Amino acid sequence: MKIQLEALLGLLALSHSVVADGPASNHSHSINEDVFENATAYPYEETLDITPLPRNNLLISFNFNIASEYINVSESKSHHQYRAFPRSLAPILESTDTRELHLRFGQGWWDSEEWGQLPYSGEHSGGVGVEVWSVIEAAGREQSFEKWTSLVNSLSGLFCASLNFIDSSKTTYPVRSFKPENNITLFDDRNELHLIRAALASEPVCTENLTPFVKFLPGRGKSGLSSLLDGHRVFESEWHKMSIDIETRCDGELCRYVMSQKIDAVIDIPRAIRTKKNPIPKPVSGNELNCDLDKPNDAFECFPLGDSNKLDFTLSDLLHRSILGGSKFSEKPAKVCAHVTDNWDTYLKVDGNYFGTPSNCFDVTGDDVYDLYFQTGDSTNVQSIKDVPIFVSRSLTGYGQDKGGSRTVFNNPLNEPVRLLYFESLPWFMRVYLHTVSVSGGGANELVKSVYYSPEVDRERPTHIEFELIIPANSTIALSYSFDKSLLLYSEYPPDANHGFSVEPGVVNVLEPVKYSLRTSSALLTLPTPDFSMPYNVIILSSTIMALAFGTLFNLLVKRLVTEEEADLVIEVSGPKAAIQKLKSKISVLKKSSPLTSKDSN
Amino acid sequence: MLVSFSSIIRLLCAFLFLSPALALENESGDSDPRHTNNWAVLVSTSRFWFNYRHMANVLSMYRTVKRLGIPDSQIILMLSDDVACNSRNLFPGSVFNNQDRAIDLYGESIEVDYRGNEVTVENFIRLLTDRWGPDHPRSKRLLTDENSNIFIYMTGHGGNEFLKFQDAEEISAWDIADAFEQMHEKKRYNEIFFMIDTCQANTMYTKFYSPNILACGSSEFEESSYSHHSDVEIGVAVIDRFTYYNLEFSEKIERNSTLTLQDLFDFYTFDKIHSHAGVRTDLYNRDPSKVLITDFFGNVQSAVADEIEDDILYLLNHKEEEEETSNTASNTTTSSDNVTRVKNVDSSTINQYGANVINIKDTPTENNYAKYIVLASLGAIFLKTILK
Repeated sequence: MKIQLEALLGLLALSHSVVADGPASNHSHSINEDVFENATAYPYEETLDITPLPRNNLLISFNFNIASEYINVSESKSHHQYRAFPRSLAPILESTDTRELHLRFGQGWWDSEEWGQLPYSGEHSGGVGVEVWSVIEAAGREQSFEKWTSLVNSLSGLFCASLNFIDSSKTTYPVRSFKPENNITLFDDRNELHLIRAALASEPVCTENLTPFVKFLPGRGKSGLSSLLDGHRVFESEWHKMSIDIETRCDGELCRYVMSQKIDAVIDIPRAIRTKKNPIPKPVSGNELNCDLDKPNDAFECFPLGDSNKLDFTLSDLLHRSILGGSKFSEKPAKVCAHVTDNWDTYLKVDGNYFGTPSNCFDVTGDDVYDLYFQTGDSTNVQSIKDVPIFVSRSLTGYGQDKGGSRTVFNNPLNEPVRLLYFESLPWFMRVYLHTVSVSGGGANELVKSVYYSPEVDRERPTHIEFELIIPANSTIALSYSFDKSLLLYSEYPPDANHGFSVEPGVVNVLEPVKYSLRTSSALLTLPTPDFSMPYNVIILSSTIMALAFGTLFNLLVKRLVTEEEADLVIEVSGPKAAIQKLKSKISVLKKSSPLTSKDSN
Repeated sequence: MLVSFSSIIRLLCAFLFLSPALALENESGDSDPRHTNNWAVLVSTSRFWFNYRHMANVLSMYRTVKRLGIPDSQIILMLSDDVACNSRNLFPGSVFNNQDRAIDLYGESIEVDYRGNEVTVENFIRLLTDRWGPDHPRSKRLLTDENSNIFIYMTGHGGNEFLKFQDAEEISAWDIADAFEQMHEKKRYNEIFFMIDTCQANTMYTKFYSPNILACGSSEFEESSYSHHSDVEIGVAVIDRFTYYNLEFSEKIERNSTLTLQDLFDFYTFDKIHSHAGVRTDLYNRDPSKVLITDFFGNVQSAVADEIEDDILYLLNHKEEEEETSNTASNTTTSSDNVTRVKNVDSSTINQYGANVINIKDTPTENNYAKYIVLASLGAIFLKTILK
């Protein structure tokens, strides 16, 4: 082990440029190469990129790439061998003829004004909740939907997510958005390809979704970079996204799956360090307060300063874990890169020693425990953020339980027009009025380039809108429409109906001047919700009415209406007075006959 | 194929578990047919953050059965709400059942089978009786047989002969009793140990009428079950008393424990639980003082001799031969058919549904614009009718 370590140190110290730049350039090339010469090397590689963001935030991006073995698709063979590629996933893809699968899990809010563009130009960041789309080969649309249902049900078991709730009322067939980048091979040219998509905005993302994600990796989270992945830390971040993209790449009739798994998280550095010391946010004691000395400052008075710009932390401070050695399966050493400016010092910490490279990229090999150390005097000095081509925000307007509206504001900060595709899939209980669609601001002409609209069908399919818009330079436009809210059937309301219904995020795909993709936030729609205690109230009220009706009817049938005189007469004969009279007379009769018998008894 | 697979598992079980099973046989001294696999169905039925303790209850039992060796594939965990990653949770990704916060129940590799709105009465009954659509994934099914011992644990808010699900619907004692009878008819269990922690819990097992069911509950008719204690930082009660003392007892248990169910039942006292825990043994033909706790909580199994086993090797070989012949047969037919079938498709041609994308070329005035939208809607409606 020591020898390995020394070898590594030598590598780090002497051949900087090789470590730093060499492997990165043929990165994408090598995964397509045949790597089966080395028995332990799988077609697998992993990288970790760490980028400080303004305001003491840190973006951590894990990237795992796996490829399966080649399969000759013209031979029907029921058994395939899987080495690195997860064995639980491939049969699902095969049985449903899925040529491409894209899964997105995410929570949190990306502050694009502060942090700039989303990682990977937003290509791997879905909306809030769960989003899935796939390209399925099928003979027709109906068959493709059957396969899609089968696919999402299988995935729900695999990913511990309620993907089985995806039915036709949540499924869309995108026309222009979500188009695959590469050409796709049909395994049977009598079939056609179908692009199908659905999203569940109210789905929570938690440890049980991370578990299968990590289990797909050859290291199972026990070694390599995936040993850093701890649900507790990932889900305490400001923003986190998990994505899985599987594509079928073919060379003639030889095809294989290529999978890319990504986890991105933004961590608030001071908060993460604070929660490591004490997970419970308690007031800082007086002597630990960082007071502003320019202002009045004594034992009773203190104007606390914000978080310090001087940072000094290790990766294990933030993630509470260290890297447990390099990946034993990957064809190349696991790579960790810090994307920092010159006034940050970044070192790889091994066995109490610190090592640096000019490029701030490190190869992780062997069995040692690794950590990354960061230090800076000014954390505001970070690599320049990439400008966002468009800011989009969507909100629901209106009030009441009857109708409402939606307003999406596009703000183009650039000096050139932005061409984009706006995709929305709205639940069927939002009945959109197409005639109310209006675009305002920015000189409103020539803004809408094309419109695709597929109206909802109750309980069968959602409203599907795709607009191609051009947002003029430095301007803001608003797209708005109004809709009716419909009543659901009693059994269709979820247990927490009063919480509202999630409307999935709108999808913005910028086509020009740069390729960029983003999601709006999801919206919470309040529907007219019945009072669920109503049935009980109805039962109680109707019982009361029935009792009243029955009482009157019963009285009418059984009782007789008589005059006072008649009543007197009756009372004389059968009333209480007459009864007493009768009793008295009976007693007197008894008295007359009783003295003898009573004496006898005594 | 399936037959041979299950037989292999049985054979494996025979090798792996024969020796401990024999040892247990001697200790318990019971000659009843023993089980060969253990399953656990753990259900929390309450929604909302303030019912944190029900999630903690069920996760505590999950931890216990997992610790004692039941694999995740044989545990069906139904978790009715997400408390671990709830924004109210001060400890994201963690659920604690004690204010000392020593054990994180959510851990690092939890697998939840049914979560949130999936936890319904319908799904629970379907799970027990195994009636699902063709697409239902295997990991979400209770794949038991006549040699399975099933531990069923439920917790939530209940009353006389009912248990509330998600604060929206109820399951009645009769529903569960009938589901168990169906399971019995379909030979889906060897023995069931039913445990329930809710108000008036003992009323829930009064309607059972199928054999080999042992039941226990936390409180009797017209009696409430109580929570144990609260955590000030989490802000809600973290566990119920009955479950707390079940755990206190089961924490002492290891896989080779010789403690019996009677020891567990004797552990329930009014002083601890503050309600009268009940046990129903009349449907169960074994003496709880001779039944090991690990018969239900753990994965300690014995092997059952099967007549087919003699033929397993023959069957396996035969099967493979058969498959090979069928494969070669299908290969010859399909390969000639399929060689030219592979085709590269330009991805821009996917989902092109005719002319229903309306392109707007000239400068539209306000009126024109409305016209186009009307056109678009007309087009869409036209297409819709055509598609129908």
